[in-house]
Amino acid sequence: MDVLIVDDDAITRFALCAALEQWGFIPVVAENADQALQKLATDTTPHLLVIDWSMPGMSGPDLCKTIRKREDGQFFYILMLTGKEGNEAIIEAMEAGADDFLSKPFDHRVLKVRIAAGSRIVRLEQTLNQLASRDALTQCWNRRMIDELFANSIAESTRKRSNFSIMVLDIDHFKIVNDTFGHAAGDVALKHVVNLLNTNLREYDQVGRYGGEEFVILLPATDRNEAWGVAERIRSAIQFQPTIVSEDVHIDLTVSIGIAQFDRSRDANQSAFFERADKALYTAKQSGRNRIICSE
Amino acid sequence: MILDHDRVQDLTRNNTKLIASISQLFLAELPDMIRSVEKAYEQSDRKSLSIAIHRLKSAVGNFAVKSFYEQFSRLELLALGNNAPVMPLSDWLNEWDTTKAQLNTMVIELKDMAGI
Repeated sequence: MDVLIVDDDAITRFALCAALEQWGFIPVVAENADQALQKLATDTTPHLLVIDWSMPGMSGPDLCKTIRKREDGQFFYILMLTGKEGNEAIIEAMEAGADDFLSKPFDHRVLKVRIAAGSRIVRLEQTLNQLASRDALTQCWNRRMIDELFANSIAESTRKRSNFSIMVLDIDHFKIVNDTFGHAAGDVALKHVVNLLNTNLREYDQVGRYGGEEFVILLPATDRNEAWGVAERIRSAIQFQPTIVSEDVHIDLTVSIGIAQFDRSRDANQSAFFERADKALYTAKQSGRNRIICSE
Repeated sequence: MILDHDRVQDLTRNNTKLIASISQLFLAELPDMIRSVEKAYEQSDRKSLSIAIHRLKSAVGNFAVKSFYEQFSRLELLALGNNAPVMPLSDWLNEWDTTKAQLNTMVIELKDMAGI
């Protein structure tokens, strides 16, 4: 786990880095609050922070307040280190948003157990986040999360003026699968489909389970023709790789897919854009299933 | 003894290379930290003086016994002069001179421990 050390004192930084490495953590260092905020703006931001109170420029408590004002929902566990003593300092640090407080000069054994406690809380938070954002059966994103990613992708596409397409995919006649083979086999089939989706999508594409057997796939930097290619790869993979429930039970599946490319002049909002892909899916279903239809 | 041997051993897991590295880093930074203190004193800038002492205190805290660290805490507080009666800076200098002499002792002890 990465740990961000924010301290203007080179010796303390050095000592903390050596100790953290010894305890199995990966130290990331910042000499002041501005550098810390830059590190916290990256995709691989550390979530366990050790912040010194007194630094040139923005102080530790002010840095805490700034971090707590973030609106992206990310959790940071903050341990404040300080040469200040007494209850007033503890109260000020905690009110600024610190989770824990350690007075300098600190006993390294105490720091070790405090860091261990912080890392347990960060892991717990990450697990909770995972549970809240993943579909329990298939482990792809759940509807809440894919909606959030969907909104972010639209914003990114607008900002960068880049292409963005979505697919809405529905497994054909899935009710018959459940009625014929049972719900347990249906669950295996859903997992199999998600597995094939993950295998046939690119690293930066996102899959979310939208409803029972309906999935939404976000395709950043992708126009409708490229989306068609991805969709066809998925459609044929699912058609030709049946779900193997047991030695005797193989389930053939097909899917229908609706595609739409984001059009800023036409799609007033996320719902309007989704609606076009969903209508294309409906047309695919009406036209005989096991096919892809692209919204005009 | 100003140097806290146990603290340094604990900090470095008694790794001789690490003791040498951290000591060298401290010794390299020390003249600049002392200069900052003395410059702030010459300018009678209490705020800068307390900041410079605080910086030195943080660094010293990695090596010194608690009582010496607390001496820096007192110097920091007195430099700031927030609490009445405010100590005149000339008196503060006497305390600083005593502390600086002890700091020199700590440096000798540290060099001895680190073998540098």
